[in-house]
Amino acid sequence: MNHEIEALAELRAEFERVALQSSSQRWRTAWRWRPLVAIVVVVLGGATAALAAGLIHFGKPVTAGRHLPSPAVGNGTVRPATVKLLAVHAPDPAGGLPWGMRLSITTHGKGCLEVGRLDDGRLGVIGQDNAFGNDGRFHPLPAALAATSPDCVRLDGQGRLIHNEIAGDVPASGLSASGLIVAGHGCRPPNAIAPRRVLCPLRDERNLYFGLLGPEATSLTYSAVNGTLHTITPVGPDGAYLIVQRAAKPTPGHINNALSGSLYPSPPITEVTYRNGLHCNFANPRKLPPRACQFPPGYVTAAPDGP
Amino acid sequence: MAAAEEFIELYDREAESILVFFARRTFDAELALDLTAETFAQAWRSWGRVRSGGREETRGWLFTIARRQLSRYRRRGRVERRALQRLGIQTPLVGEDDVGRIDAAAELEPLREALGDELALLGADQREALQLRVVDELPYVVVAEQLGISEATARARVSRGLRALARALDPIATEGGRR
Repeated sequence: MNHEIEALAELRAEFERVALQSSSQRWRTAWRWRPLVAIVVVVLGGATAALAAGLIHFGKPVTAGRHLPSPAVGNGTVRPATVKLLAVHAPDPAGGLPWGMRLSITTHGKGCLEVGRLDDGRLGVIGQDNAFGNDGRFHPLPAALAATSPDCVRLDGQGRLIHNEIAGDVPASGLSASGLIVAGHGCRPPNAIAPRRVLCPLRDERNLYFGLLGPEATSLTYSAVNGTLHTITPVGPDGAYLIVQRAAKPTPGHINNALSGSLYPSPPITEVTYRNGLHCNFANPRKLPPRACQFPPGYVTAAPDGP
Repeated sequence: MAAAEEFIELYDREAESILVFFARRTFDAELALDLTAETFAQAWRSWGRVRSGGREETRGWLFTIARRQLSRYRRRGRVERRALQRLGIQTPLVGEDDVGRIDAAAELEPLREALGDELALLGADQREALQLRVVDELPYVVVAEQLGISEATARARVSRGLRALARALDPIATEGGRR
């Protein structure tokens, strides 16, 4: 069933997980202590498994790595009423669940973007690529974890986030796709300096380009893996965009698992246009764009922090 | 039907009613979700004993747990989370869109207006705290800052204020409510 209130749907996933776990424990106990019942279990097992298969869709939610976000340090904690699933999504090159993006504001006035796989309006991680024991389930990503991202940035002078990010060599599972510090390990990029960890197959590596261009942006052009240019319209008042591409074969000097953010985008995004007629070209990463493009229309410089 | 499947069916049928029940009595979407989560966690722990009851009977039982939760919250000024913790359940955060949806489902706007009239009858401390939290919808941390008190004290004042208004509000809260 679809609950229109997203938090109720997330809570349902939690109860579904707990209820099913508990049911399977009861079956195990019964089997151990009542051998005769086991015969019946064998007969009915197929039906029970089929029933469970229909329900086992959600897995355990993603949890924080080392420490939970703290109100006192770093980005602070996510202010619950600010969490917003953005109306932007992108298909995965291999199909399956699309990718989505969420915006949160923290108690320290920072904006955080999270990217992950999208299932029925929820952001999460798929149990594959060595994440969650490859259980194939959808693991919801609690919004509170957004504050663990190293790339939360200060809001502009109007309390708005204008920001562009690149996340390279992200596993298709979506685990830690936007740099969140979460528990558990997925696979590592094929040329990572971590030989003892499981390496991702290249076919499961993704490069993600995402961000918020602000309310004045009217179009964004990017270059696909095969070199063709695509122009898209940024979504909603935040000017959101999300591009997912297969990662290319690693080359010497290639940076693994890189995450970088800035006020203006960089390739494969080649051009952004604005309502006032401004065209900003970002095709050449070695050439600094004009100041009007470095500080895009709609961006208001924030007042400096007090002493 | 398996106990797990029956329980999820109960959740699908009643979760929004329980959430609305709490929202109309606390004027706080986040708090309402916390109380809803603990109510269902407690319900799951006793589910084996109750699941054979009829639909109305089960609904009545669930609302009894909910009323008990609300009464504990009003007494202590904090939400009990014991059953949630035992089950290892994380309560999700309530996003901006959800706050609007919960407000609409619980029809909180007319209730907020009614509350404004009743506020005049309270003591200054509780009136200010309720005004900031419920009428102006400010987060507790801002309420505390504006009143120069700790967040815990702000929560306690709002909780006591709502309790004091409960008699006046309950008929209004129930009217149009689902339960």
